[in-house]
Amino acid sequence: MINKKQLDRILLNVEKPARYVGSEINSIIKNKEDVDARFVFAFPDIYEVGMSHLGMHILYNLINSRENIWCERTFAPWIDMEEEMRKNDIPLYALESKDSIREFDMVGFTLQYEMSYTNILNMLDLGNIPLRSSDRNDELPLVIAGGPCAFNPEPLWEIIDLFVIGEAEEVFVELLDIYINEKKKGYTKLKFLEKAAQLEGVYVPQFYNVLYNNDGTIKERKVINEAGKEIISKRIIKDMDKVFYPEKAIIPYIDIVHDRVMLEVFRGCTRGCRFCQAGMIYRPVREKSVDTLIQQSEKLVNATGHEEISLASLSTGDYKNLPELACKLLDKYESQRIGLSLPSLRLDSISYDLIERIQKVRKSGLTFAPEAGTQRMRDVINKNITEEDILSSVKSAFDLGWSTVKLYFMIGLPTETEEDILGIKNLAYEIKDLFFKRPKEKIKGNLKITVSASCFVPKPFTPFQWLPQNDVEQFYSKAKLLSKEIKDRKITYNYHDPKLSYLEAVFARGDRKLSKALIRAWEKGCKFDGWGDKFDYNKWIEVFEETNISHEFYTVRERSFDEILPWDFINAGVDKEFLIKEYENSKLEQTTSDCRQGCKNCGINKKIARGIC
Amino acid sequence: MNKIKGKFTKTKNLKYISHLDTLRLFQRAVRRAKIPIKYSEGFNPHPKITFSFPLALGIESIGEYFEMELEERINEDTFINKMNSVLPEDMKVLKAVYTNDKESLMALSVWSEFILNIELYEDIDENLIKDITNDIISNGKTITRIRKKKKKIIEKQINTKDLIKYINIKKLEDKRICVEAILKTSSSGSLKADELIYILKDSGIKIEYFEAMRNNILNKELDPLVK
Repeated sequence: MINKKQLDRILLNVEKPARYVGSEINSIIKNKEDVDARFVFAFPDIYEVGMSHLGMHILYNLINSRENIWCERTFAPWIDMEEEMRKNDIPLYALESKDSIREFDMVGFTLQYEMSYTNILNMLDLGNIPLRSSDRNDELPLVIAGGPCAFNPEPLWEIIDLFVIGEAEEVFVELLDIYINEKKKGYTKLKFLEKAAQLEGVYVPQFYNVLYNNDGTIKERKVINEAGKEIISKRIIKDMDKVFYPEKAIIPYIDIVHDRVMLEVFRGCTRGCRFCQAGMIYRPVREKSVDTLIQQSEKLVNATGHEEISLASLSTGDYKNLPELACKLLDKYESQRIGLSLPSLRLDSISYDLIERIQKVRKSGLTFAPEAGTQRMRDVINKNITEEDILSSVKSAFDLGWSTVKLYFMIGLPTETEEDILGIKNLAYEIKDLFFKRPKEKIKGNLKITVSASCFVPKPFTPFQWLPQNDVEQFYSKAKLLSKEIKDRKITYNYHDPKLSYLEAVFARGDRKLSKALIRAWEKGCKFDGWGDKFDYNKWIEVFEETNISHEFYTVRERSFDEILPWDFINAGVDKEFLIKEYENSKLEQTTSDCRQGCKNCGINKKIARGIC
Repeated sequence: MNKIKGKFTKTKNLKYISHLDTLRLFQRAVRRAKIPIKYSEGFNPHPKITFSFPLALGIESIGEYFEMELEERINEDTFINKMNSVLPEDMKVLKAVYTNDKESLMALSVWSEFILNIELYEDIDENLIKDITNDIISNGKTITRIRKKKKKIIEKQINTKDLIKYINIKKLEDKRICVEAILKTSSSGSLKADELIYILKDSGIKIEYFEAMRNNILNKELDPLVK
């Protein structure tokens, strides 16, 4: 255990010390002598971000539901705390036991965002764990990873021992069982990895070798340990009503990003937006029943005392029984002043009466994601909403009393022209006119429209995975065109940092060569890259020069359909032919309707879902 | 009116959470305990809970006070038991009584009783302790407070004589001293435990580390806020 007295002495020198003490209600303490395995869930960002992540709460409680395993938590310490820890020789520790993460059997990182990769390295280093898998012997913890970015695990291949691809609930337990079994028989890392690699959804990078062509593209992937499978298929949970869901959640002492009961209403998404990785990799759609959700809400409200329930999913408005669920939850919780929040809500999917009822308990903001400014552009990306849909939804929202609207767009989309960019401005101005064109007595509140533009990052397993990204200059000129054009006191405009999105694109479609760049970047002090003010683009450019890596190779280069992509060995369920067809449709500006209106044969139902879609 | 007020502790790890965090912790505890609390009106209704004079981050306490309004009366002991069954280990309700007080806990808070356990770099002479104590009591010390108002930095010199009601410094073994003090903690003027440490350092005591505990909050008659 780390020296608690020493910890106490440094905590008052840092911002928000409660990030580092644990002991929250519903956190789980076990006796380490009584368990067969110790796991630490490592979130490569600060406490407030990690604690807002639903997946962490699910896995934490799932693993701890096994009496013989103890799962703890650790987060990336903020800069000030890291400094104190290094100065005082305090290693990165788990919040529950205060033991150094080096003492654990397994350290598990979640990969939510490419720009958190340097934090993984920094956390391992703070825990005195060697960065490279090949430098870690049988005595050291296994370092594993999962989450959406694990669908292209290759940039981390030198660092992570084992990746879990897809939904982790079942495979995690299987993995830990194998581990405990091996430990009893006399554990060696290699033997464990060979056994684990037999599980569906488990990828062990050291069992493969990748050969490259002269132009840097992949020539061949070779299995060099016969325990490694040629193709790794993602895992899914078949029955969402039967899968483990926590009955309690840790209640943080400090304010975190999402501080509410999170009810996961379904997984997957049927909309088929062509830029959206989540919409492809989390197929098929699997809903929970209203009964299950009501029961889960009851337990979680009782265990946490939260004042808000959030219905979480990729597109909550699409939940089949949303009106029934919302009504039942309101009936149950209105009198206790527990509010309901429906992120990613489309106003056309829910009646006005219901919206009014939701707003009566707790008033929340209103967000729309048209994603693009013209119908042509929205057809290219298959965002199946029309301008009429948007305007009529916004109008009803105004009539219901809202006056603050946030609009999300992307710039740098495939085939984008200046007209498409200016369409963003036009749409915002039309919404403004809509507000004031209503009868005087209906105009309430002070109109505020926020327009946010993010820079498009092509992602693996989407129809745009072969396409070039805009370069930084193109992004800037597009973003600045809008700053010049949007001149209205009622409309606030902001855009994401093009350099950050550019670097994100390098890693999103990166290959094994990037591992060394990542390590070099960490050596040069890169961390918290996702935190605007900590991001040092010039340092990264130096890194690519020093490691002889062309970042343009990953970003602005168009791939051909027959190129072997770094993530091709992963079967996410969606066929390449489907992605190609969708790409061809996008070029023709042809939309593909929601899969709820008829199967589009994406392939998920054949190999992975096997009829449940 | 069903106004209930009570005394509670905030110790160990909970010394790292702020006044606002404490409020949120209480609001959620009340909901878990199913206490029939009254809610505020408006767009974001919240349980009506108020506290006595805020405690600075890093200081423990066994004498904090809360007040809340209930929809209906429940027995005081039931209230305490219900709350304590849901509160974290380092926060416990010690007392609870119904009250008709018009004045808020904030307005009633005038003095706070602190105990500071201090570790020194080197041992200190008993006579020096006496001199320092006398000086603080009879003359007071001057501290400088810096406030930022927009972009201007305003410095203010304050004499501490009226802000310290009582101070006693005891020498312990192993380069340690213990300070008992009653400091003003009211809306019309206050002295923080940190500032007392500054005064002691300024008087020549070589402080390496300290731990502070608020024992109680007192009204203008020097009585605890809840008896």
